[in-house]
Amino acid sequence: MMSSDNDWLDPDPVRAEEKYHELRRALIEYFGRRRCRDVEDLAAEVFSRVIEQIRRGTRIEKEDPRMFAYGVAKNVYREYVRKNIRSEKLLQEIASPPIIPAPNDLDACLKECLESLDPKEREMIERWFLDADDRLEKDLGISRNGVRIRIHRIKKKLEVCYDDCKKR
Amino acid sequence: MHYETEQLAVRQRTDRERLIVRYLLGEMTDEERARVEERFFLDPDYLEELHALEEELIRDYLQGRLSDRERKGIEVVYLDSPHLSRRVEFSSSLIGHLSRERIAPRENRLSLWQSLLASVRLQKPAVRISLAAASIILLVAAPALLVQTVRLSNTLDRAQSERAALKENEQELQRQLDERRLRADRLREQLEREERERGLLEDELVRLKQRQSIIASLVISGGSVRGAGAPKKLVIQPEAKLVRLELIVTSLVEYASYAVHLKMVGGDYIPAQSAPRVKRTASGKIVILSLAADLFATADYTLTLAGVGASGAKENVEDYSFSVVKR
Repeated sequence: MMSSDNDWLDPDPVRAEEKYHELRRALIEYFGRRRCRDVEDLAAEVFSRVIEQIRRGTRIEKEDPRMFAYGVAKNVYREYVRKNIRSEKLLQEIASPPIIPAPNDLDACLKECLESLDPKEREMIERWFLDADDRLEKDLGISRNGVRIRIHRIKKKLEVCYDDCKKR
Repeated sequence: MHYETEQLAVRQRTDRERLIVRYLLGEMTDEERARVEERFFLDPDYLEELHALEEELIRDYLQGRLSDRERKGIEVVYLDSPHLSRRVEFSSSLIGHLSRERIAPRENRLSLWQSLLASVRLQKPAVRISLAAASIILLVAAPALLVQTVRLSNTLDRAQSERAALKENEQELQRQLDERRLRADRLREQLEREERERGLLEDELVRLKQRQSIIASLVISGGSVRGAGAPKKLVIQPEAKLVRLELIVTSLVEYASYAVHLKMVGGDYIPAQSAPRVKRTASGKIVILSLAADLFATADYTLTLAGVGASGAKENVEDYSFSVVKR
């Protein structure tokens, strides 16, 4: 997305880019929680509609643009339900088993991505996922929520790396 | 670095955490959910906190640490959502991979199966996606292993059956061999017995032949002297030692004993060397006379049989004649 398209989020292009990603995550959460398919496409549709409305002259300055996007997202979801209620049913009926990649490929990507982590991050991931280690809070001197957030960020890195690896 | 896995009870959550968990597990009303959504649309940190708590919830789900209510909530909300289920899948794959990597250095030659078990142990309540890493291995490897196992099992069964059949056949052959050996032993014994008997018979035959050759026999009827026919001929072989004359007696008169008077025609009288024996048969009597072969020469002989009465008086019974040829 071009920076000019994100002006409605923030006049500062860098901050606008950050807000774009934050809003995109919120939209994906919104649609994903509603069991939608192709949540990225739906999030893109929201952005597209918001920009379209702005181009048409709709003024959103008095309202937080993110709440404006939230409102658009609700409309997109309603349309999605209307359009897809039949196809969703059909999809569920004819759903074929998921194609599972060969374990070696999965393992190879995971291995590669884990190796790309900082050793401390790797240790944290291992302790947190395997041991549910409460001592991490003490060792790191942060709250439980702080540990969770760090873990979440490390895992996000892993997921990005993993998706890239799988595309190769 | 090694950390023992321990079952930790889910710690007490704060009100804020409980609210997020209710949202994550789909336990909110539409209004409550809308409030949470508005909040995370406006506050990226809140969304991150929500996702971080979600991370912990999924981990605890995969490790079987959740209550039944929370576990069911995860299964309803996450496993039915194409987008959310990917988060569970990734965590599951990650835990599986980390488990295998941790176990591998401890035991250099840790098998795939052991790795899988380790992974499953960590993820016991997860029925579908939570077992992704292990399931993938099973899905890929199990059918082939099963087919291979069944094939090997069938081959083994066949081999065992063939071995049993061969063993049985071998036993049958051994039994037949033993039976034949026994039969051969019996035949050999029978043959030996028959050979012994044959030997005895041959010995007896030799003895009989020898006996026959040493005895020259002649059966003569009475009245031969007066008869018109040629006299009976007695051939005495060189080896003959004894002459046996059997005189058929036609007279019905009974005597206490008999006496003979043998004489070469135109020659000397030959004295009897032993008393004649009497053998009674259904058709009459036979008087048997044994004499040394040396007494005879090639010539014609006459023999008179006399009966001896109880008083000792002699009475001629019958006359016999025969020729002798000495070889």
